[in-house]
Amino acid sequence: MIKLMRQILQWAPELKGKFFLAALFKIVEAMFMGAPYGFIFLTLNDLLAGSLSMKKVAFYTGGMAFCFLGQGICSYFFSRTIWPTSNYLVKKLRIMVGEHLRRLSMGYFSKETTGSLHTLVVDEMMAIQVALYMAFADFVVAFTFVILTPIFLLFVDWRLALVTVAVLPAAVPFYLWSSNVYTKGLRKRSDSQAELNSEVIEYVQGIEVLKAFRQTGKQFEKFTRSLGGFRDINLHLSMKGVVPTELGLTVVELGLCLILMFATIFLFNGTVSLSVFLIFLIMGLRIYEPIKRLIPAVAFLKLAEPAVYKVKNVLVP
Amino acid sequence: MEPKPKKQGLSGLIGLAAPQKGKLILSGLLAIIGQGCGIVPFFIIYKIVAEIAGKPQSEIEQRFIYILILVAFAAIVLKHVCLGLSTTLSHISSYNILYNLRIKITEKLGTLPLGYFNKKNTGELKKVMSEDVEQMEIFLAHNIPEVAGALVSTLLTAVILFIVDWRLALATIIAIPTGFIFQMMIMGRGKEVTNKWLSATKKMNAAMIEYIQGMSIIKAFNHTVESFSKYSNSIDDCLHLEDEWSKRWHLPTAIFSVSITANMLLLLPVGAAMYLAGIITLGKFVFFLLMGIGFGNPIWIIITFGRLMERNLVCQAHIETVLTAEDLSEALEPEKPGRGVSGKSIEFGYDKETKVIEGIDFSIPPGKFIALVGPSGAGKTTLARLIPRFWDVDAGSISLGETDIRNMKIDDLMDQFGLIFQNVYLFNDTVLANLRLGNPDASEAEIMDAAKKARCHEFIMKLPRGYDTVIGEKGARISGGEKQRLSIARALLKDSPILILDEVTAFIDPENEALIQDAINKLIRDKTLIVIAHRISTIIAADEIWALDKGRIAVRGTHEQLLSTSKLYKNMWETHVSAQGWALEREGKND
Repeated sequence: MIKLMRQILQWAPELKGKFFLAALFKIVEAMFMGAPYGFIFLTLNDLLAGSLSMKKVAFYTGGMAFCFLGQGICSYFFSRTIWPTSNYLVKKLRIMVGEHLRRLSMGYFSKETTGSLHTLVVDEMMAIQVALYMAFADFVVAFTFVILTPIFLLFVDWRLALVTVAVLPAAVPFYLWSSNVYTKGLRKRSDSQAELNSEVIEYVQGIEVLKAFRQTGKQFEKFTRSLGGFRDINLHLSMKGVVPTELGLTVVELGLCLILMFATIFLFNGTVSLSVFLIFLIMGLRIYEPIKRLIPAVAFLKLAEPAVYKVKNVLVP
Repeated sequence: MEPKPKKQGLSGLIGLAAPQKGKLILSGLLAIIGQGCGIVPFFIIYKIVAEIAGKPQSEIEQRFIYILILVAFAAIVLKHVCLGLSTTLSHISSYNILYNLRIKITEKLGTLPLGYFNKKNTGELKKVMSEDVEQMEIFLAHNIPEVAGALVSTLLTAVILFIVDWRLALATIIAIPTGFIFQMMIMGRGKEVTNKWLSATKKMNAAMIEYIQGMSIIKAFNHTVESFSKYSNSIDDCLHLEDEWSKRWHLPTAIFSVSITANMLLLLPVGAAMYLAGIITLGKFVFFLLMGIGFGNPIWIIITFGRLMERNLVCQAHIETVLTAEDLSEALEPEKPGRGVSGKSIEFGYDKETKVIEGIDFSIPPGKFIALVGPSGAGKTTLARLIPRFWDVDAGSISLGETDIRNMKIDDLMDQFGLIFQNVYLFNDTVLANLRLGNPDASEAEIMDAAKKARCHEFIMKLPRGYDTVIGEKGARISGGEKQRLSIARALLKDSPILILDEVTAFIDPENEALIQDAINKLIRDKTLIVIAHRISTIIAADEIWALDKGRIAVRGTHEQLLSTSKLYKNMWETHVSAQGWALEREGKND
């Protein structure tokens, strides 16, 4: 993500402020999203200590309402910032590429097909756009949670906090595995898509000849091959990608079992209170959600990589 | 007028998925089981809390708690196994559906009259075949299983909540409909913007193809600024509408994201009050706190589905528009083509207002050489393209022998014709593959023989990889004359009884013209020949010359007959002869 953002800011340095603002909105939104857990913790604490009163409940509810409001406002401003910014970026890139193309010698156009250039300007740009809409938010939220939640949990119980975050390093190999699968697979997919788009353009523009030679539809083997190739590459990618993705998600979610086991042990040997036990159970069910969203977000991010690579290649003077 | 798509909406999308129904149902079932397993840990936590919080520590059975943890472990593993299998199955079926759909569109395009391609530009059709079809993948591979899983898990969770305590269950779910109502309101109002945005995307696609493919002309005429502004305006329009489209979602997305978790605002005070009043146990209260804050998570999937659905439906409508376009009809009981070509009272126009062909009658016996001449716009090319039924005539009929071409199978009809056009279209493939288009069953020896006859073997052998050289898009890596000779070789391989040549030497240099003439002479033996000629000198040997003017055959006869009887033809001949001696001269040079 950082690599992608760095490249994007090289192309459009004027967007630095906008992306920073979008990230800030998302970080604050993530903090507001996490804050209600704090109120639940306080409620449970009071509940088990026998000091919970309706006055306190009203206060905690008010606190939560404030957090939800903050979450909503930040979510709104994040969307309002990231969508037009991403749209502007893609517009700028498309124009940059178009501007650059008209300065190139005709030799370039005899090597590159219309389909591959068209794929770059339309489909690949969309991949960058999608990466920014989808992956950017997930990455910001995940990192905010990964940094802030353990700090909060450390104050509650440091041993269970360690147990909670223990699964994260275990998930890293799966994250890298899936990242690797998508890097390779999506490059191939990008090439295959360019080929397919070239074939589509040729098919439509050459239809008169194809009709004349009765080579339309399945008879035009070159096209059918491209279609088949694109299907196979996609299938191969999704089948290879599903294994590390689901394994990574399983490992992360099994963190809940670890929390349950250790919390039970600590509860029975009397080293944690029931309220701490309960807050870790609640957190255990929710803390991994942003991390879990990060693993599929890799696919969106990797989708943008070949696009960035190709744009860079075209823009080489 | 564009035909209306037959199927619209969700049923149409599901209709596309019918051939892979089994896999998709299984995928949906696995997603449901997976999501169901996802609820188990919540329930286990409820049981653990009920056990621990409800009893003194000495009475708690520790073994029972560890067994529950193991069950949670197994449920998590099973959940991801099921979801992994579900994803795999949904992708297998969706990519196969997409492949079949693209093939279906490809075949459909092959049955459409050429007029269809005049109205639709390449970018538009590319968008349908590429982007719109790809959009279906999201619906088939992701939306179907995920939404099925999310719906079931939400319903299942709601049922469990109601079983545990109906009052707190109500407090948990009551905020959710607010988000949905907002969503529905936005969806209802947004179709117009979505349509506009996706139409602008089509235009952008077209502008980009035009810009890239027109680069040589743009550069030659120094039109880079004008054509670039057309390209950049299309980007501006598209992104402006995309901004408009996305603006509609900012507020509902924010409201929805809050409404699915804001149930805690009701759940916390209601639960606390009930607990403090002794109506519910601590276990129940904690269980609802756990479930309440995450209850809305699967609903995100449903809401995303709603947003994508709007786009899916527009894309699906684009696909349906192509698939339901009116194609060239084929007789239910096709007849075989006869010999010789004839036309009776043919009328044709590219649109209803302007007639390009007006009441032409003709008869061409087998083996005859007919030449079509006339000024630009006289209807020569149109007439030549009506004969192999690239368009259907508006009135009258064209027959091969006694058989109306509309009563033949298109394939049988096409077998009768060899066509060589002025603008040769070659594919970005090897020389061999381009030639093989003429006869897919031809051996390499036969292909080489045809290439030799068409005088292209020599230049092919000089290419870096001979017959295996890829010649680039539209044959960009070879010259105009070479392209034309390849197209003749292609026609030679097809070996059809009727040949239509449309200004094949129009823009060719003299050296290539001689080679092409030689190649054509080998091609035309024993064949019916219809030639559209720009250079009248090349068709003076024709059995009959038709001089076309304003969509009619003004005069017909041999070269000698027409020279003595037709003023129109005589003028054309004199213009042609004087052009032979034409040369560039600087003003004042001969003074």
